[in-house]
Amino acid sequence: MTWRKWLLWLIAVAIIMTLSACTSRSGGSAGGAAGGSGTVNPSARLAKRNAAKVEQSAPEPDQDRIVIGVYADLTGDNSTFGEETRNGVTLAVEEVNRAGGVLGKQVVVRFEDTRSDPQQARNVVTKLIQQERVLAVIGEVASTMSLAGGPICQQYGVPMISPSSTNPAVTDQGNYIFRVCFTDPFQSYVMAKFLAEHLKVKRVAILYDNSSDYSKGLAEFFQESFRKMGGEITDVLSYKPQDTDFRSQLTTIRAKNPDAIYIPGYYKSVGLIARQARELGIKVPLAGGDGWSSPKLVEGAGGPGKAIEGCYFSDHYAPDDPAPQIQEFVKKYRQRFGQTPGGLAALAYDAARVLFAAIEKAGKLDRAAIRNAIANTRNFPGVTGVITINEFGDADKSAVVLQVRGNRFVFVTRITPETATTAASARQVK
Amino acid sequence: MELSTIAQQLVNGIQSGAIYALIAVGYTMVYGILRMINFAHGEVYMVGALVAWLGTSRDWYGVVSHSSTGGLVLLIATAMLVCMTLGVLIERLAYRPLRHAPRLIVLITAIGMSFLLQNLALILFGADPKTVPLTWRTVQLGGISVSLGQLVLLIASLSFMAGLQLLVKRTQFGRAMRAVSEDFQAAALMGVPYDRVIVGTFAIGAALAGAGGAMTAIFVGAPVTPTFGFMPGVKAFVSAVLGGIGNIPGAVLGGLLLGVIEALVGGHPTLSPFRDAIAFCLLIAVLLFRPAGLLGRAVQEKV
Amino acid sequence: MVRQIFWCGVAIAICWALDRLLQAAVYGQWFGWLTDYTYRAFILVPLLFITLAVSLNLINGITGQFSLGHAGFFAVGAYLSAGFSVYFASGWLAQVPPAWQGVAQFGLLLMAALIGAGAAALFGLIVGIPTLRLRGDYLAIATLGFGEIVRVLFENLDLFGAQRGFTGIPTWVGFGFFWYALLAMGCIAVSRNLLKSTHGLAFLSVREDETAAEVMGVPTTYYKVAAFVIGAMFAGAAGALLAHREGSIYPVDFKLDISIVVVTMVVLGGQGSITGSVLAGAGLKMLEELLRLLPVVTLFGREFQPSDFRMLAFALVLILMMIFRPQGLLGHRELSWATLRRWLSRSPKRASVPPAETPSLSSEGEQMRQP
Repeated sequence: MTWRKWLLWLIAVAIIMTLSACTSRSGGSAGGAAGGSGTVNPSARLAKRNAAKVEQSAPEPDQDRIVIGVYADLTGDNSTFGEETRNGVTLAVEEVNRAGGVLGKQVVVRFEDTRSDPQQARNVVTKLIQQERVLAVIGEVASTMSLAGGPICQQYGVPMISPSSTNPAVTDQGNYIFRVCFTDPFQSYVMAKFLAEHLKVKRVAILYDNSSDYSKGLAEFFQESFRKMGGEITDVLSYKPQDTDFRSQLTTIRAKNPDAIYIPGYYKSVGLIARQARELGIKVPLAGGDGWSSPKLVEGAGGPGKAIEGCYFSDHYAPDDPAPQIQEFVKKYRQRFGQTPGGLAALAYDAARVLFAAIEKAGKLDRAAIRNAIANTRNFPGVTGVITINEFGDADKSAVVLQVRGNRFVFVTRITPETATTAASARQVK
Repeated sequence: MELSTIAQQLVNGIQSGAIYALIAVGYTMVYGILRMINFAHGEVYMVGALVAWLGTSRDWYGVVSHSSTGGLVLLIATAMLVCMTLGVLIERLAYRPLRHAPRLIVLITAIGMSFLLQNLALILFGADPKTVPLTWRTVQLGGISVSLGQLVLLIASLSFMAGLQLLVKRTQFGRAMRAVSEDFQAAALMGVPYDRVIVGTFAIGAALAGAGGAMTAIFVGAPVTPTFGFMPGVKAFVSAVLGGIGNIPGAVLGGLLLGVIEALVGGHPTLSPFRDAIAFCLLIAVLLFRPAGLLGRAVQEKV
Repeated sequence: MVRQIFWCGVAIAICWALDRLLQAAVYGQWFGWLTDYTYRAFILVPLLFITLAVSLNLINGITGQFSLGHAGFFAVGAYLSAGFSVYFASGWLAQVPPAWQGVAQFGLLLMAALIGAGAAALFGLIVGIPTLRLRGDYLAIATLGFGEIVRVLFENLDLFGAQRGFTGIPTWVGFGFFWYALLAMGCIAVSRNLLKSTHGLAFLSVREDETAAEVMGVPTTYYKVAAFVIGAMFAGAAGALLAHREGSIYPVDFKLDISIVVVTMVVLGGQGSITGSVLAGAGLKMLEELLRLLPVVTLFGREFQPSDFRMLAFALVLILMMIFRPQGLLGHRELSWATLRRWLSRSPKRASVPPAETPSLSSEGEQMRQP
C-alpha cells in the first residue's frame, strides 16, 4: 500500500509544478514584457548600465600589435551565423591591415567557438582576455551568448561590441558593452508597423520559438505594438526548435483565419513551418525578424518560389540596396568569399570598423580610452546604416523590410526609429 | 473547436504517429527477442534521413534522380539498405560480444552507440539543418488539407507494417522469430538458428526505421540534424511500451495513439509548450498502472 | 565521535589553507600558467565533476540502479538554491550591519546549499518512487525523461530566467576552492562510510541480486530510494555551488550530455569504486580541457577544434569499456596505499593474479538471454 501513498505525493507535486509553470507563463504574457518583469523605464536601464563596475584588472594588452578577440558559434547549431560573423570581421581586418593597420600596427584576430553553449561562451571569453590578452572583444550573435560573455568583459574592463545581439538586456550589463544593431522592441515595432500600414493587415496570429528569448521577446513586443496600432492578435502559439511537426499549431491558427502570421523564429524551423502552413492551405503572408536572414531559409522551405515566396522579414540591411557603400561591400565580400553577404556579415564588418575607428580616435592601446571612444561614436558611415551609439550603448539606426523572392531577399521599405526607439527601448527584459 | 479542426488534428496526429510506429516496431522486435532496448535505434532513423538528403543533394550520375517516382523509390530503398547494413553492424560489433553479459552492461553500450552515431554524424556532416528540396501538392478533402507527400507516407508506412505482420505470421523466418521470443533456449534446442534470427530482426527493424527517416526527410521536408533521431527514438520507445513491449500490433497502436495525443496537445494554446513532456508522463503512467501495456500480457518474473 | 569531529576539523582547515594558497598563487600570478582560466578549468571543474561522479556512483555503481537523470538533480539544486538567494537571501543580507556581512554571507551560502541539496533530495525521493516498479532499462528511460522534463521546466519558468539563463545570482562562493573541495570530500566520505557500515552491504546486495536480498529480509525498496535521495542530494549541493560561483546558470548547462558524461565517468572508473569515480571524474574533465588547447584541424573540408571530438570519444570509451572491461578501470576495488603497494610488489611476476571478480552489475541478476 505504501507505494500508492507515494504515488499520491508524486501526483500532487506534479500538479503543483505544472500549475506554477502555467501561471508564470500566463503571467508573462499578461504582463507583456518577455520575462514577465513588467516595464522598466529608460532611467532604470541607464542606472543598471552605469552601476556595473570594472572589478578586476585584465592582463595588459599586447602593445606591438592589436589583438582582437571574436567569439561566435562556429560549429554549433547556429554555425551559419558564426560563419558570416567570422567572414565579416576577417574582411574588415584584411582591409585595414592592407591600408597599414590601426595606429600603424597590424591587427590580429583570435576566433573562439561558443557552440551556442553559454558556459562555453564564458570560458572562451575568459580565455581570450586571460590567455590571448586581447584589447577588445567582438561577439556574440545570439543574445543569450552575449548575456553570458558580457559580464566577464565588463568585470575585466575589456570593451565588447556585439555585432547583432538584439535583446535590450545585452547592453544593460555594463558600460563596456556596446552593439551596432537595433534592438528587439524596435524590430518588432517595424514589422507591426509594416503589417498594419503597408499591408493593411488587421488580424495576426503569432507562432514563436519557445526555447529562445529572442523569439519570445519579439513575440511579446510585437503583440504590444500591433495592438496599439489597432490590430487584433488571434492566437499565440509556440514550438520547439527540434520539432518537425508544426501542423497541430498551424491547424489551430488556421481555424481563426488570420490575415498574416508572425513567426519570429530562426531560419531552421521557419522554412518547415512555411511548408506545412502551405500544405494546410494557409495562404496568408508570413512575417518574421532577422533570424530568418540566412541563405538556408529558402532551401528549408522547399526551394525558391515555393512555400516562403513573397513573405516578409525585418533585417539590418538589404544587399540589393543601390547605396554605393553597400554595393562596394557586397562586391568585396563576393570576391573574397564567393557568396552574397547576409545582414550578420555586414554587421560584423561594421562592428570591426567601429572598433578600429575608436582605437584610432583613442590614439593608444588603452581599454578605458577605447571604451570612451566607442561610446562617442557619432554618425559613423556603416554598411548597415549610419551608426550613432546612444547612452544605452545601442545603435540608433533604421531597419529594412525585405521580401523573399526566389532565392533573393528584395528590399521593400526602410523604417526609421522616429519615436519608436525611445518608447520601445524603454521596455526591457530583466 | 470546430469539427474540421479536430479532424485535421487527427490527420496530423496519425501522420506523425505512423512514423513513431515505424520506429517503435524495431524497438519492440529487438526487445521481444533479446530483452534489450536498442537505444541506437533512433539514430538509425536519423541515418535513413541523412541518406535521403545525400541522395537528393547531388546528382548521382542521374541514377537517384529525385524528380521521378522511380528515383524516389530507389532512394528510399537505398536508405533502407544502408540502415539495414548499419543495424547488422551495430549488432555484430557492439551487442554480439555482450550476448552473455548482464543487461545493464548492454544498456550502457546501447546508449554509447546512440551517442557515437550522433557525434559521428555531427563530425561528418556538421550541425546545420539539411533539407530535401522537394515540395508536395495539397489535396483538399472537405475541411481537411493533406499534402500528397503525407498521403504517400501514410500509405507506405501502413503497407510496411502490414508486410511485417505477414512476415511474422506467415513465413518460416517469422515463425523462428516468434519461437525465439517465446523461449530462447527451447528454440535453440529445436534447431532454430538463433544468431541468424537475431541478425534478421536487427536488419528488419533498422530497415523500417531507415524507411521512416527517409520518408520524413522526403515527404515531410523535415530538416535533418545529428539530433534528428533522438526525440522520435525516445517517443517511439514510449509508443512500444504503451502498446505492450514485444508486441508488434501494440507498437503500431501505441505509435498512432501517441501521435494523435501529441497533435491534440500541440494545438492547444496553453498546453503546446509541454508537448514533449507528454510522452514521458505517459511512460511513467503506463509503467505504474499497466506495465504490460495496452495489448501486452503480464509476464510473471522468474526467480 | 570525538575522532570524527577532529578529522572533520582537520579537513576543513586543510581546504581553507589550500584555498588561501591557491588564491595567492592565482591573483599574485606566481606561475605564468596558473591563471584564472586554468584554475577554473583544471581545478574547479574537475572537483565539481568528482562530486557528481561519486554521487552518481552511489546510485549506479553501488546500488545498481541505472539513472540517466543526474543532470536533473544538478539542475534542481542549482536553480532552487539560486532562487532562494536571489529572491530572499539577498534582501536579508542587505539588512545585516556591515561588520557582520562576512558571517551572514557564509551562513546564507550554507543555507542556500542546504536548500539546493534538500530540494534535489526531494526530487530524488520522487524519482526513487518509480524504482519500486521500474527496473533496468525502464528506469533508465524514466530518469532520462525526468532530466529532460526538469530542463524544459526551467526553460519555461520566467521566474528563473527561462532560456536566457538565471543571472544576477550573488557569487558568495567567491574563489571557490574551499567550498568545492569540501563538498567533494564530504561526498567521498559519506559514500565510503556508508559502504563500510552495515547499510553498505544492503546497498550492494540490491545490486548483486535484488530478489535474493529481498528474500533475506533486506528492505530493497528502502535502500533503492535511499540511494537516489543521497546521490541527488550531493548533486543538488554541487549545483548550488556552481550557481553561486558562476553567478549565472543556463538550462543548457543541464542537458542530457552532462548525464551521459557523468555516467561515462562512473563506468570508466568502475561501477562501485569510489576512488575510480574520483580518478575518472577528474581525469576526463582535465583531458577535455587539454584537448581545447590543441590547434584547430581541418577534416572533410571543415574546421574542427579537437575538443569537438570529446563526445565522440566519450561514446567510444563507453562502448569499448563495456565490451572489453565492463567492470571499469578499478572494478569494485578501491585505490589505496595498500593496493598500490601490492601492485608494485606484484608487478614483476604477473602470474599470480588475484581471483577474478565477477562483474555482476545487473540490476535483476538476469543476464541477457542466452541459449
